Amino acid sequence: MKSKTSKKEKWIMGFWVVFFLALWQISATWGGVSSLVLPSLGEVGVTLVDSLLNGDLLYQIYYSLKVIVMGMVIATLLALVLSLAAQRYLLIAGLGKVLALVGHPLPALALLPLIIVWFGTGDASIIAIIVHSALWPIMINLTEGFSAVPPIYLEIGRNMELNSWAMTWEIRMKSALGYFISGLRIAFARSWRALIGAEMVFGAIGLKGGIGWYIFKQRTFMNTSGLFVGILVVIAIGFLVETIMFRWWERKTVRKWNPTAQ
Amino acid sequence: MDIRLKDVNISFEHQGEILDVLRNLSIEVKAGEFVAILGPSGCGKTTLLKVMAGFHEGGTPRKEIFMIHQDFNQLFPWRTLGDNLHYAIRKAKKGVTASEGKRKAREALEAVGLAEFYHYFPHQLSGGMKQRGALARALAMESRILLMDEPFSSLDRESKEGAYQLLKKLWKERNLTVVFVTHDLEEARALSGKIIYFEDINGKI
Repeated sequence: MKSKTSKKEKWIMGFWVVFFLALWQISATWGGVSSLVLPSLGEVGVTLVDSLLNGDLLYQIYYSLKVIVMGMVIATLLALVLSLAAQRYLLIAGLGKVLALVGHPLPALALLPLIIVWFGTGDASIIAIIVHSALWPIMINLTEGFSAVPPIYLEIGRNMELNSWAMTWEIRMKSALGYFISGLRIAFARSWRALIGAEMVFGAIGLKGGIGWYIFKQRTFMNTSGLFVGILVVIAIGFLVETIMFRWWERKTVRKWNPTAQ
Repeated sequence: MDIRLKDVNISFEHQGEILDVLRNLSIEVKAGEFVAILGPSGCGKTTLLKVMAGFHEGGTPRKEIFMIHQDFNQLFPWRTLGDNLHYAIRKAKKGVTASEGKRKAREALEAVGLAEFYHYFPHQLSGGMKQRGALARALAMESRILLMDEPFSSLDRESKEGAYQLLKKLWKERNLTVVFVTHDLEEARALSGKIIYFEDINGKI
């Protein structure tokens, strides 16, 4: 029943996508709207192919993905250390809570001027922004996940004489994997948005790199179809990672182990 | 290996009050015995098993003395049944090759009648099968003493009978020592010739 409904829902969603694309094309072709304001799908397609072929867009995608991966790896390692230590030491548990309380509600872009003062306008600043965006949701979710590990698994681990590494990897991490994936998904969403914004700001002050900068550059040259290409790429990558990649990971792990889990 | 406890005292603090769970308790279980511990809920039976297993202060749990819990969800859900056993074997015995570990896991599953469920995840098994799987894990680790905390209490009549027969058979064949906690006199009688009765909530025998 559920799969029938979700299949139907997918068809309906597909219909709306086609509807809006058609509306876009009709408005651009017969709506009397200038292509500087709304280029046709064909123009956007040609710009997309050109940008891909001349390597510019691919390089900007590579640049953005490279820095987001670096930032998220650093954030994940920090979150792991903090949330594992919080399980053992009350002092660190308190520290984690205070840091998350202060850091989590603070948008990365609000920190941008300070980060520029501290780190300049290079990659280090962009990575600092990503670490700030990703660290808190991963840490909060991991801490919650570690606290929710069923005590019976820990007892069985002790009975099996597992060492502390095995207790952490086999029991705590695997038991908390669902929380970890959710944390990463939120972290990516926050980082991706912050990254694009930061690249645009940094583009305005001289740094040349990333999809945010690509979009910014298109506006400078009034290349509206290039603007749309940039926006579509941002949506496509966000969708691929958030929806396809993380969902696939969940399907291969937590949903396979416990299909009733939400 | 015998189990000997002498003058064990366990108490918990609950809402500012100290509650004695076990008071001056001494008990001995000889190697190869099958002892049933019978008593009402809340009398300290599980605490006694946990003391025997080394989970309480001053104790160190060992794989030779393995506890089978009442909770059906004691197999790791992220591993298949066979892989749960294989993992336990690898951790219990250093230097076991992958093929040897898998063979031993399969043997232990055969002993409890679950060989064909090797590749099933725990959520795909019934409660009784999960408990038999937990028993197989203890066998695979070559634990000599099994501490069983009402493992069959939530099973239906038929599954219980099957589990009793299986447990008694394994106890005899493998010369195990079993301490089986229950609140059901019939169950205690069906399983063991030696029944220790917990009289009250202070673990008085």
